[in-house]
Amino acid sequence: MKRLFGKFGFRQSSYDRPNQKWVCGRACDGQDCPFGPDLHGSCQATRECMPVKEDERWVCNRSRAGSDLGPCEEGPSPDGECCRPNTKCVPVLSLRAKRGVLVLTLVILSLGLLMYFLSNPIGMHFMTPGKLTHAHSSAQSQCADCHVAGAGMPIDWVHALTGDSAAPDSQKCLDCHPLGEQPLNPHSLSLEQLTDSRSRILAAAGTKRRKPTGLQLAALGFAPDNIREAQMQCSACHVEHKGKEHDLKTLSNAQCQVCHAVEFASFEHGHPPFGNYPFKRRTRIVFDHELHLKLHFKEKNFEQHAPKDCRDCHTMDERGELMIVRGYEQSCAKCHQKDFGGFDPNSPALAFLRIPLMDVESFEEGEHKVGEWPDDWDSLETTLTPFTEFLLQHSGDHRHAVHQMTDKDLDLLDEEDWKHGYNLAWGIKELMHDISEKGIGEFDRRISAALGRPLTAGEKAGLEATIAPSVFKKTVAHWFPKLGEEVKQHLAGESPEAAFMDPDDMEERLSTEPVSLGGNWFRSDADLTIYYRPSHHADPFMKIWLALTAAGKNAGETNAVARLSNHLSGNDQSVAPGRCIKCHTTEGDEEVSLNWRGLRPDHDQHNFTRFSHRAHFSMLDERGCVTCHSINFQSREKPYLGSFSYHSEEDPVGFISNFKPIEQATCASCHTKNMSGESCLTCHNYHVGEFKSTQLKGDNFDRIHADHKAREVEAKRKDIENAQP
Amino acid sequence: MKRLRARRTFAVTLLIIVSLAYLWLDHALKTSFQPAAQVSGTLLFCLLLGLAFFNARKKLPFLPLLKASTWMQIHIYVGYFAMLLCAIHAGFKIPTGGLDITVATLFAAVSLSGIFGLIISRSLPSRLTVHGETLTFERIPGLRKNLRSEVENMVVDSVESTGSSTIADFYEKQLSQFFGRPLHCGAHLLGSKKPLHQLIEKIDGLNRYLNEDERKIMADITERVRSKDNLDFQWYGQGILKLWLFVHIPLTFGLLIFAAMHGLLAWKFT
Repeated sequence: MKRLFGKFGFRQSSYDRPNQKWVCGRACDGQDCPFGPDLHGSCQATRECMPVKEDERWVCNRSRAGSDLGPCEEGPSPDGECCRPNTKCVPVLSLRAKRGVLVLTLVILSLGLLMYFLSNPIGMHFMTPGKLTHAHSSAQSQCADCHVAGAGMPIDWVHALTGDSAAPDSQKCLDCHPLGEQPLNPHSLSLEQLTDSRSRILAAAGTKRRKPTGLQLAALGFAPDNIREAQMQCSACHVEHKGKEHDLKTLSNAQCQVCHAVEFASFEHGHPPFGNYPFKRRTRIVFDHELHLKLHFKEKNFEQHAPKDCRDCHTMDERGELMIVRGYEQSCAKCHQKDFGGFDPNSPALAFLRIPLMDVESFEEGEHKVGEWPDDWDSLETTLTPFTEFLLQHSGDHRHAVHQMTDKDLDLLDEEDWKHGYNLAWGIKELMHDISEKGIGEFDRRISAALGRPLTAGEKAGLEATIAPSVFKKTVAHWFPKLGEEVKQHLAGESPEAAFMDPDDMEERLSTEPVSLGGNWFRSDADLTIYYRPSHHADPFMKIWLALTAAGKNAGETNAVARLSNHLSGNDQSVAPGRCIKCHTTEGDEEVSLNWRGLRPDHDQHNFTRFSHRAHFSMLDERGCVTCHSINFQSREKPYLGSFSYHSEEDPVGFISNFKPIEQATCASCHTKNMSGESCLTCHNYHVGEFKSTQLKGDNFDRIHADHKAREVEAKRKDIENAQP
Repeated sequence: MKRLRARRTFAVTLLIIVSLAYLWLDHALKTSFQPAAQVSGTLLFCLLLGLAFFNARKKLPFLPLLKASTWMQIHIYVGYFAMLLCAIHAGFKIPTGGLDITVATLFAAVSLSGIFGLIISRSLPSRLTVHGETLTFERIPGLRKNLRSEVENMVVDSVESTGSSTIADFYEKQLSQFFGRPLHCGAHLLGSKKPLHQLIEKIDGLNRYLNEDERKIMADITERVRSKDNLDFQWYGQGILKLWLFVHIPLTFGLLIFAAMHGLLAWKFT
């Protein structure tokens, strides 16, 4: 049988005060007094009771609680004091009060610890929410490198708690990672581009599409439209302080798709068709694979040179992403070297400057005297060369004359054209005089005038490397020995004496054979023409003149730039010795450039789609590259070569490739969730456009230091202001 | 009992629904590039404040702010939800930053102490009730001291009345320490009677060497041994019911302070 310690009650037990701050010091001995300590922890028990006065008599009021004692026998003294003194105790804190003390201690400790960290540089490490990735961490890394609010001591961070820091922080990211002109826009594209892209994709997808349930749920309650229009901060996707190995580029497929116009369940199910991928546009170098494989490589003369493997003509770029075309020497020269005549005198040449046969006798009748000029010279041509037309565009009279005389027989001019013929003759004379006297500078001046723009340094250098003024000086000496004097007279408003040049009279100064003028230049006195003969592949003269005139190729039949461009580009292959445009295509409509090389990786150009050839070589079967790139046998209506036309407004995107587009099923056979993965980021870039992947060193860091310096100056200024009374 | 079960079923169901809803919300926020961590962090901090207010509510019984038992229920289930929210907020990963580790450790300590407190406050009171006489915690030291004095008086009396020191020797060797202070904390909390039974066995073994008078005295002492055992059980039981709050409440305040700092920095730097 258990023993009971007694009943609990007002009379039966002492009065406990566990909720009070202080308890009797003798409570642990079971000897607690009925008074208990006061609120400040002082013992109140001086006597066993505090007598009360009843009817003019002091009465003992000792408590019965817990002891069954009640009033004592002695009773109070006459002056009302208890006669039983009590021993004082040392009150102790109640359990609850002890807990309160512990709470207070911990609060003070926590605040003290925080204050210490906030006011101490070591606090920076404590406050850091986690380790940075390898790429961003270094011994010199400071919070302020990436956070506007991170400047100074940690306590300053608290001061900086007002204001918006998100955008400036993103700006700090952009200091090292430039993303083009709209860096914070979705995909770094303008709203117009995004809207246009959205419309195009929606149109292609049609109306029969269903958003996957998961994405519907994910996007429920949030407006993707807002995301499209908003500026995305870098930290929305790139979350730092997640450890050294954290992948900053991690993005879920759902995140990729939440803003997209057409959403789908997975790459395997619902991904938009590839379209013409990877043949989005025509190749830069014209090469008909089908024609070569079917025909040329089987020809007797070329059979031994035919490539045995795709890699004979193609090789990987340094990143293993792109299969680029090897150079001309490796890929084409074995078969096409004979297309270039070298220095063979019988190979075709370009007529650069010609003295045409003109009806100067008639000009004389009309008082239009041109000085020395050939007459009755049957071997002369009666038209200007396109180069001459081009170089006469600098002066209004000459330009007008060229325009009026275009395609006319200069030896059969009507009376009304005599004036133009006269101007033309003087234009040619001035041209020959100026370029022989003033040299390459005159070329620059005349070409700039013809193009309507100043030449670039590169263009000037290109011209200087291919044109020697001595060519013209030597020629003038033979053809027009008095040219300087004549031009002087003409410019002074005088009419030089007419002197009809006749080949029979000029035997002493003329040669019956072409005369070399140095390099690829030669002179033919038979037709009074200066020629240039392109000798080899990538002839610099052809390159510079094609590049100069390409922009004006579609300017019209009478335009001198267009005429020269067409002349050089092989509109008539027989007079285009270089035949460059047979293989090299042009790029752009307004700012036209020529593709002298095949596609080369541009690491600053970031497209939506990327592909690594290197990663896929192990996937190839015995067919090699044809495993993925199967030949597209062309129809007569749309042949590969039909995609290239230098002279028409051919859209480079409207292109019929030699190869069939990559089939999505080919990729999807491996790229599933359980095999090679189907993350959007495997094949797609988020940031697109032209920008450097990482800005290394340079003036950005100078700017960072300048900002830092400016902040220091500002801080000092504030200190001075605060110090002033 | 039915009502309790229904209430618990309702609360658990609600907790599961709210948890699933928040998991979806967090996924939707992250997918939509919304600041999910800020949302979960702010909500978590508000919940912590609400949970901490339970302590204040107990000190303000006069306010008409629902019953304390209702508060307790809310405190428990909101606490569970806060644990899930904390895991979501941390991305189900262990943080690595100094401040974050401190906050997470404090949160874990508060949560675990809370779960521990819940378990013992659900299991111990019934055991305390059925174990023996229920006592006020604050009185136990006094009662223990009185009991010891009582037993010691009995031992002294036994020497005088029986002329034998057997009981006194036994007390000196086996019981003085037992009556001197609380013993066998682990055994009491685990509900083990082994220490008591071992002592009773020793007393039974001694009885063979006692005469009739001594046996009567020893029987009275045995009765007090059982009382002391109950005293110890009550002491440890009630003590642990009070002491877990010495961890739970102070750490809650520490957590609030560090979490506030974490929140301010996260708000500013994110």
